[in-house]
Amino acid sequence: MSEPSPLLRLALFLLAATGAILASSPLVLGAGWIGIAVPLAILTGTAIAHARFLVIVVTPIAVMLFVVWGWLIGAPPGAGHDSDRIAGILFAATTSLRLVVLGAAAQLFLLTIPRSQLTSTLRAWGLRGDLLLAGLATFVFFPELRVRADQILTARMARGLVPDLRLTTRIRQIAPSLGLLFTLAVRAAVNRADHWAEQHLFDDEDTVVSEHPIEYKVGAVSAILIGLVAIWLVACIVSRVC
Amino acid sequence: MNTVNAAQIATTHPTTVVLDGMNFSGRTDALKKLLSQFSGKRASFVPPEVDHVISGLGATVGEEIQLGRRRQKDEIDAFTAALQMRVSHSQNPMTLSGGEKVQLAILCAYARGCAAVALDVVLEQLDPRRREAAIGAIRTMQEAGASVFVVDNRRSETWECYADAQLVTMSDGASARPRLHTGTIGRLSKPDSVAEPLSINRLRFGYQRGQAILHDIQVTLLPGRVYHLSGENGTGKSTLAKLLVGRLQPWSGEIRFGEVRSQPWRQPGRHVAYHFQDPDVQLFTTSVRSEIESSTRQWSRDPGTVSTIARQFGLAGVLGRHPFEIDSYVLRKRLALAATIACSAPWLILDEPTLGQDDESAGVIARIIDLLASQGRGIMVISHSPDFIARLNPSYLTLRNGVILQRGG
Repeated sequence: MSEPSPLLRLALFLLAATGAILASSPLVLGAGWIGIAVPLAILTGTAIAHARFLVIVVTPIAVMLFVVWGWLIGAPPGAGHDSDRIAGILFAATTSLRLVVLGAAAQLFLLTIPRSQLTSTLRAWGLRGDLLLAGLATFVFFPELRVRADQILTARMARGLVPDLRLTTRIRQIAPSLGLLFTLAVRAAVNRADHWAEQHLFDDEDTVVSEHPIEYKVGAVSAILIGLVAIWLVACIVSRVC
Repeated sequence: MNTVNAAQIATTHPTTVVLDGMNFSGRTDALKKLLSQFSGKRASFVPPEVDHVISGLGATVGEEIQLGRRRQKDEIDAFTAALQMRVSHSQNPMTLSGGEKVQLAILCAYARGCAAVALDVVLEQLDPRRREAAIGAIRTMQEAGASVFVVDNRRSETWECYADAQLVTMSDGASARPRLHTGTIGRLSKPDSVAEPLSINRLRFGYQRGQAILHDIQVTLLPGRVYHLSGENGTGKSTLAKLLVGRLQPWSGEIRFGEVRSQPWRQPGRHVAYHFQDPDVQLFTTSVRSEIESSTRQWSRDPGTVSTIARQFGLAGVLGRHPFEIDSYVLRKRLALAATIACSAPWLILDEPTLGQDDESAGVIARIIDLLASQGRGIMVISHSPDFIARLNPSYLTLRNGVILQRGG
């Protein structure tokens, strides 16, 4: 399967995100999510990550939005208290679905960048110097968190501080580990960034960054993605205008 | 080897410099100072926390080597062979063993064409054969135009390999250096923590289905003794330790403590406490005091216990500090070691307990281990330092091709 080029990735993300911001109907947002984002997530192998995003990020926010605007205030922002409960619920639904689509777009177009192409992609987006380092650090931060979380659990086990490996026990270990997890991940990120700078790793335009450099060309995959995002954008604009 | 002083080091031509001295004699600062003379050029400081020089950007070892590569592929292949590095290019660099990460860091510094490379007590993490190979590879780097600066506490074990290097002896300097003391060993660990014999029977394990790295581990270890587990980098020593602790569950086989068949993964750390090679992945609290207390709390509520242990490990001056605020790797390593020894588990696995420690400190650690064994605890030491192991007079276990060979009782 041919990869979309770095610039195409960025353009697709920006257009998809623009559509999500423009769309004013929860029906369009929902249809775009189910009709385009979900099948693409399945095809690109990001479905589990997307499901996790829905459960961990979207669900708590959506619940709060429905409680606040649909129930407690009973109206959308700017309207009088309890003046239009249905509009309040629609506002909560639109905002939640917008978040879902924005997240899906980020996961599909940005978080699927292979690590070996990260540097060349960010560089193609015009990032240089410290901005490039910051961009790279952002992308490697979450994999780093996962490694560190495992290390902390192992360290606590190695001193007999985790009584067993039951799920409930492991969940209880999360709270005391969060602060350290963050400290360790930030510390490692800072040290790595220092090392990248020390080695002038990203100074050269011709720095080799991949064992098998990819030559991007507009293939079938790119054409399909462009088509889907165009349909999405038109639908969002129409829903806005009408 | 020519002996010079730090001010005489000329870095205008490629050179290899070995900085000799005790802990806290300023060797790391001197390394950084030497490296700073190469500002504007590519340089690589490889600290004992080797994780930090793995870029995190390469999903595989191959990609990590390619990142910022300036040398030709055949040069890199030849250097890889000189290092005796046998890591698969498709492996995730974060899953490599400590020694393999050191090799990768040195290889990347070469591949990236660094003008200067500083190795701060990292060669100690290599097995003797690979350490010699790495020192040979340093000569290749110098011939290729790089200056290499080395701090190696085990230099005396490979003295002849550094034949062409300049030696800089750092003055002892720090008179208030935090020293290790054997002290009153009775206060270091749970007094009645006497181990039962540990029997491992036909243990099998691997990280990937169908690819066992431990095939048929079969051995009985007796309490009150020190065992030295040796094996080349990447043979599974740390994996075996994690199986005994209970972090990993074996595919098959059994582990017994005395007559009781045990499933360590159901009660991790109950019978065996594990001191990691890299202290930074072992420390998890917000102060040195609480780090030690998290272990001593299992058997003593006396606040004096923590202070005693801290004094013995030269940590009294940093008790209130966050472990990661302590710049010194040497002190963090001691803290991790102290916290493990202070656990109530009767068996201890100590993975490279003398990393970063000078000869004097290694001697004290050997005495502490000896005393713990004489109290009835069972101890397995993983170390690549022949000098340190000779001080322990241990029974020898060798891990090779997934099985354990035992000699010396």
